[in-house]
Amino acid sequence: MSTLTYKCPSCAAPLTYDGRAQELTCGSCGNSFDPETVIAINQIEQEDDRPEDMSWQVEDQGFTEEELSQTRAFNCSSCGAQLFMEDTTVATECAFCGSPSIIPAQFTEETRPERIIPFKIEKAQAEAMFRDYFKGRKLIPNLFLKGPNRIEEIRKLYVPYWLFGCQADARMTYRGTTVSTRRSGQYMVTTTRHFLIHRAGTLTFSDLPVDASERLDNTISESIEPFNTKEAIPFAPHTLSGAQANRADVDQDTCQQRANTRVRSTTDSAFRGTVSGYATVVPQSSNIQIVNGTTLPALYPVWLITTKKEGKTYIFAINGQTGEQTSNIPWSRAKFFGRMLGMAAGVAAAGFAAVFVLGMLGVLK
Amino acid sequence: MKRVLMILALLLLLAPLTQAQEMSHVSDLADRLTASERQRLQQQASELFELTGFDVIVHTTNDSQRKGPKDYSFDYYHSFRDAARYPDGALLAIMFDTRDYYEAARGKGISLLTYRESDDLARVVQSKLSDGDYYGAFSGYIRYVRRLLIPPTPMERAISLLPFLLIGGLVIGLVYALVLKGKLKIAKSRVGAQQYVVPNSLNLTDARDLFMYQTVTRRKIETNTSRGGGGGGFSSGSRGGTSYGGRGGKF
Repeated sequence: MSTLTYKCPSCAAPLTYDGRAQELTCGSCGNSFDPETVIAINQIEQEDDRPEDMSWQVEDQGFTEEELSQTRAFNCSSCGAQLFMEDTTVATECAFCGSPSIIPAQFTEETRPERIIPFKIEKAQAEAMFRDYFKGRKLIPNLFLKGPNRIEEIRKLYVPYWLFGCQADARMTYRGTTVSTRRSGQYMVTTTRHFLIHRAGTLTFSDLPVDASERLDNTISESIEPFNTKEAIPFAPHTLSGAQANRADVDQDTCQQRANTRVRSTTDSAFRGTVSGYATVVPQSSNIQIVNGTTLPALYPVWLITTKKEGKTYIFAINGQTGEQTSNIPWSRAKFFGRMLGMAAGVAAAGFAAVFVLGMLGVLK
Repeated sequence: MKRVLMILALLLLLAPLTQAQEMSHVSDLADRLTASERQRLQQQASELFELTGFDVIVHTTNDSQRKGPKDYSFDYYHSFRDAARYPDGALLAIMFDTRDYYEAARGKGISLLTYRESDDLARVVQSKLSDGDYYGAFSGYIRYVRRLLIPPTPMERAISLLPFLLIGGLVIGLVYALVLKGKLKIAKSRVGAQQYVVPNSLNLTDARDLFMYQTVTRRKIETNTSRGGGGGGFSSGSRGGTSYGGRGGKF
């Protein structure tokens, strides 16, 4: 025979039933509770105790024989990148490292992109964006301002992504307090009311992209998001015309972890946004299950521009659809603090002069 | 004869200075100040007198003669300094037998000090008196009177505000530099996936806010009964035809 023990919501000590008061009382902290409330809290905690499940269904169909015949593959013997392109596109160098030492490979592409977003930004536009990047940006290191920034390589590349879509089924529990203060004679009485806040529901995500290319840094691929997936078209080898595509060489499980992190973060904040009216809110538990989770391989357009300074290569990437830019060109800390201190000195000097003049005019007494 | 006349003229010129140096501004009957502290306070008050003609006296006693702080201070001030020769001034008395402090003012001092809020006086001296820093309280009081008598020049005011201007400037400078940094398209990871949430897809199936328990804390309200002239109150009276104004409190 098992006995059911209720825990104190305040201090987690066992509660005992007080027959006279018809309340559950805690011998440890001295609080008393309405039995129905304790049962409801217990129920919520049991419901939220379900195992978390953030797994996804993969849609990976593979290439047809016809598609394989229209597609050529290469391996870069310099950096190891695996590339493929339409059979009419002439590849002379690696899209990642620029090395001409690319060798034909047996096309064994097991992941066939389902969708592709065509390029809308032309090469001339991409080059102009790169040149304009250095204009008017005051924290660019002097290294990049001394002379023209020559484009070392500019490459039109389709980057493989996994697109994640799902319904996040979430159960969130928070502890919240409201505080009221009143005066009672010679005392200030502060009453803190403690609440258990429970939220359950779903949030739907669609086409969350995770970069499946090992060659391209995730920070770069995430910085040029978002892509407008409404403009995506079904993949066919001819859609690659004039560009190279990188094989999805990061496995789907690794990409899932990144998708889960981002889904969890947004779900947490969306549900937290439904809790209001409290002085303090502290998350107690968060349980998310992925429902109808699907992953879809896709190719997204990226212009990759490289420039070299003092022997180091810097990457400038442009979203080939929207023109969003990013780079790993650093910022100058010396300029940052110089600008900060310059502005501080200017503001202080102006304030000093204003106080002095107002004092002279007799406005400040 | 010429030399004697020159010496006399020099003595006449130095007479007010000599008089000011001889005037006592410190009356430490309770012996709570060291000799060095007395000397420094004397110097501080003398300088003020030379600059403004305003006479500040600081006084301690262990025996207020059961007169109450106001009457004791008015009487003591009236007897200590000739009102006809030194009509403008103030006396700050500390009465250790009753733990009172009281400021008696006359002439220009009444309009300058008495009618100010007594919280003003408490702010200057009370915490130091409670801490036993009697020299600090007196010194702070003389500085306070000096500030009221000699308003700061525009340059002094600007210099006094310089730390705040620099802090404000640094905050604005930091914001400006961060805005400049934000204009650089530096690659960085995304935290969430807000852009990929289907619009209006948040569907709450359960939203419960369960009251569990409440805690009540009581804090006794500190009532400061020590501010005798508190809340802007002041007293007045006259001694030998001289009007006095006063304010004070307990420490």
